[in-house]
Amino acid sequence: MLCKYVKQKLDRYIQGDLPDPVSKKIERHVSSCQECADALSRIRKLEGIFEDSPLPPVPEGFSERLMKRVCQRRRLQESPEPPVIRIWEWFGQPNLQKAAVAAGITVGLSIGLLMGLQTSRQSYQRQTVNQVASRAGVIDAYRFDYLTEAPENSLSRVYIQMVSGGNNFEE
Amino acid sequence: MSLTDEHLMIAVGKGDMAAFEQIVIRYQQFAWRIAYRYTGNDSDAEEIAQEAFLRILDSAKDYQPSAKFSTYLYKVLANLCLDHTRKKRPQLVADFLVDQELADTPDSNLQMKERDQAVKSAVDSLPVRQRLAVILRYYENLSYAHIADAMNTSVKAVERLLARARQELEHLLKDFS
Repeated sequence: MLCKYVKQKLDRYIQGDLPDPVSKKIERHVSSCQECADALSRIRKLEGIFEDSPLPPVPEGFSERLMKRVCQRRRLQESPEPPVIRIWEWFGQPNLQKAAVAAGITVGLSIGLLMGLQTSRQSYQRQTVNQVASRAGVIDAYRFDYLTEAPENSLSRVYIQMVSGGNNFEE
Repeated sequence: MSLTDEHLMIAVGKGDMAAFEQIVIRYQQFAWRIAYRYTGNDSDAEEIAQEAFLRILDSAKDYQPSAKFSTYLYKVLANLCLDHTRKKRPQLVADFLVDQELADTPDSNLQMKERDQAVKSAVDSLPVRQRLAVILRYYENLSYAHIADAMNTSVKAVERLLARARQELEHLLKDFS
């Protein structure tokens, strides 16, 4: 019998937890193997250390506290559900559903209307500027009049000619 | 004549709270013992022990007396112990209290107390599964088959757990063995 196998079984051997044939084989091995005999001795000593180990008593009132906890749990389980209305249940009511849909449509339309107004105002402003620019000329529209005082063939004069669409200067 | 544990559990399954209280009174020491050995402190031990009874109450309707009630309770306690996250005690305070207690002890009992304290510390220092296996083997004196059943593992796995635990304990407790 291998020592490794025997050592694995020594604790169960001490407990009497092995089948008889296995116990007998271990006994024979231990009687002729010093290493396994030492291992058996160490296991027995360790077992002895745990004997008579003190233990504090069960705390007073343990069972009373437990039964109180049990009663509290039962009361919670048996009590009716609190009158809390869940939001999705609230909206499940037919009249409220209709009101919610109507409110949603109204809000949506209002937002759309506002956005439309904003866009049209911006385009009006752009249009106004363009009209002014086209009626009054580029010089007046963009206040480029100071550029007309620039010398002939200067960059500023060339620029004015370009934006005006020709050699026309409005003074 | 008092009812057996199995009869009481069947009654609990039918809603008999007096039967449940009987079970608690019979096994509170048992549950407390294992929980205390595992956690090392009163409050955690009480929490685990109480929770064990609550779980037994919750599953009483499905209880089948195919094995001894104590086997069933070992299983519930083992699961709770392994699930339990050990709260760290302020080590300095614990050591101070222990040292103070040892200082107040007459010499004749001092060696015993030191040994008991060393054993407790050594077991507490083991990894959780080894610790539980040691408690079930050396304090409860369960067979390897029962330990395996309680811990929901194999006998071979229990052999390995205890072999490693013994190696560590022999080293930690060499002054006392």
